[in-house]
Amino acid sequence: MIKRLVMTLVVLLFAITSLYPLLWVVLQSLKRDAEFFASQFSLPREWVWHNYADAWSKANFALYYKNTLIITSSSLIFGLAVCILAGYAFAKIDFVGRKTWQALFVAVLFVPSPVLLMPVFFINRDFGLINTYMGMVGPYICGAVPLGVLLMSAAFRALPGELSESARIDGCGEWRTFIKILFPLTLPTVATLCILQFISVWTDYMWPLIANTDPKMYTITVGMTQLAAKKFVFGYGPVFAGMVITTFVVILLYIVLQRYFVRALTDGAVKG
Amino acid sequence: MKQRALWRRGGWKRQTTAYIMAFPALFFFVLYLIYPLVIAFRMSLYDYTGIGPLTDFVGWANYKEAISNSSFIGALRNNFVLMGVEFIVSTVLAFGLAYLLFRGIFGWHVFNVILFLPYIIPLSVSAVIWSLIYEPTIGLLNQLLGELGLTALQHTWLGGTSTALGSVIGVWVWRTLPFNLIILFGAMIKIPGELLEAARIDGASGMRIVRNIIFPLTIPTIALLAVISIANDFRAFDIVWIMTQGGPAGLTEIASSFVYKVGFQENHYGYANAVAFLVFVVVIVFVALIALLQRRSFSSEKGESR
Repeated sequence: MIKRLVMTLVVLLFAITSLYPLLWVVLQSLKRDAEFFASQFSLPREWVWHNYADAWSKANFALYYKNTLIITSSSLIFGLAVCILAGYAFAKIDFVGRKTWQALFVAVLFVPSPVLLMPVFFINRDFGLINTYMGMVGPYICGAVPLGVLLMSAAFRALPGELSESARIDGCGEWRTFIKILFPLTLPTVATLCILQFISVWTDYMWPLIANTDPKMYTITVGMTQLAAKKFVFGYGPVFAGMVITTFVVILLYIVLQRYFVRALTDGAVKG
Repeated sequence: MKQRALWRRGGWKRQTTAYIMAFPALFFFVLYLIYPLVIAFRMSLYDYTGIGPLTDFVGWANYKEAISNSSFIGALRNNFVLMGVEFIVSTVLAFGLAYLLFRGIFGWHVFNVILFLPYIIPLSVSAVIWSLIYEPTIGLLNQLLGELGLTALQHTWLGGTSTALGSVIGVWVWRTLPFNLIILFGAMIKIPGELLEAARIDGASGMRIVRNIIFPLTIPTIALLAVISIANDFRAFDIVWIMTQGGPAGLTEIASSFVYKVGFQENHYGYANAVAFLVFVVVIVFVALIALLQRRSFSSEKGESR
C-alpha cells in the first residue's frame, strides 16, 4: 500500500512537469503584464479577457485561424480521399507496377524534411503557387500518401474476399462494391489517418514558414511565433493568449477522442 | 504472353480502373516527393542563388565544401548529441514510468491522459512556452529557483554557452518522453501474465523481474524507438529555430536549421541541398545499422518472428 503510494507520487511529479507549463500559460494569458512580472505563481487578481481580443484582432489571429482552417480541412479531405481510392486499388487489383509503387512508399518514409524543403518551394514558385492555398495544400496531400496508402490498403486487404465476391454475384459493380460495402468497414483506419493528418497539418511550422512570402498567408503556428517575437510591442498577455488559441482545439479534440488519438499517433509512428 | 498475363490480372478494364483510382495519390506523390528528390540532387551539383535556370555546374564541390566546413560538422555533432541524449534520457525515464504505470498506481487513467499532453501540443507552442520559461529575468525557471533560495543555480539558460544545448535537449526530452512512455507501456502490457506470475512464485524480486523478463522482452520496442527518434530528431527544427536560431555561436545549430539558414537566408541553394543530402545519407546509415543490430540480437537469442 505504502509502496503504491510512493510510486503514485513519483508519477505525480512527472505529471506536474507535463501539465504545469500548460496551466502556467493559461494563467498568464489572463493577467496584466504588470501582474505577470510581479507574481507568476498566483491566480490572476482580475481576469483580463482583452488579451484574447488583442491577439484575435490586433495581432491578426482571426486571419491566421481562417488560413489554418482552410488549409487543414482541405488537406484532410483531399489527402484522405486520394489515400482511400489508391488504398483500394493497391489492395484489390493486381495492376502493373503495384509492387514498385509500394516499395517506393516504404523507401521514402525516412526522407528527412530538409531534403524536400527547397525543391518543393521551387516547384511551387515555377507553377506560380507561392502565397496560394493550393500551393500550401498540395505537399500536405503528398505527405499523407505513402503512409496513408499503405495503411488503407492493409485495411482493405484484411477484409474477407467473400464480401466482394458475394457483392459481385448480386450484380454490384467494382465502384459500388468499393463505396457501399468495403469502404464503411475500413472506417477505423480512416479515423486513424484523419487524426494523423489533422495533427501534422495543424501543428506544422516549417512548411508554412517557408512556403509563403506574404504575411497574409501565415498559419496560426507561424503567426503565434511572430507575435512572440513582437512581445515588446503587444505585451506578454496576448502572446500567452495566442498560444492558448493555437493549442486549445488540439487539446479539446485530444480529451474528447483520447483513445483514438493515442492509437493513431502510436500506430502512425510505429507502422511508419 | 503479355496479353495473357494481363488477362489473368483482370484485363484492360480493371487495369484502367486501378490506375484511375491510384492516379490522384500517385500524382501528388511524384510531384511533391519523387520529382523534388531528383531536383534536389541536381541542384546540389550546381552553384545556385535561387534566380533563373541552373547554369553554374560545380560537380561534387558543394559536398566537399560541406564536409570540410566546421559549422556543418558542428551542426551534425550537435544533432548527434541531441539524438543520443534525448534517446537515452527519454527512454530510461519512460521505461521507469511505464513500469510504475504497469505495476499499478492510484488513478493511472488520469495520469495516462496528462502524461501524454506534451506530445499533443504543437511543437512551435512548446518552443515559445519554454523560451519564456528559460527567460533569464522574468522566466518561470529562474523565478522558481529564486523563490526556493537557489539563486546560485540561476542561469541565462538559452544564452549561456554552457547551458544552451542542454536547455534545448531538455525541451526535446519533455516532448518525446510521453511517446516513448506510451509505446513501452503498450509493450509491457503484452507480456504474458503467466510469465510474470511464474517468476513471482519462484520468489524473484521486482528488480530481477524487470532485469530478466521485462527488459529483454521490450528490447525490440526500444530498437523501434531508436529508429523513430532518429527520424524524428530532424523535426527538432521548430524548437531550435524558435528558441535559439542555432545560437549562441552555433552551439545549438542542428542539421535542419543549418540547411534552412544556408538555403533560405543566405541563398546558397546548391550548397544547402548538398548538405541536406548528406544528412539523408547519415539517417539511412543509422537506420540500417539499427535494423542490422536488431536482427543479429534476435537470431542470437531465438528465432522469434517480427
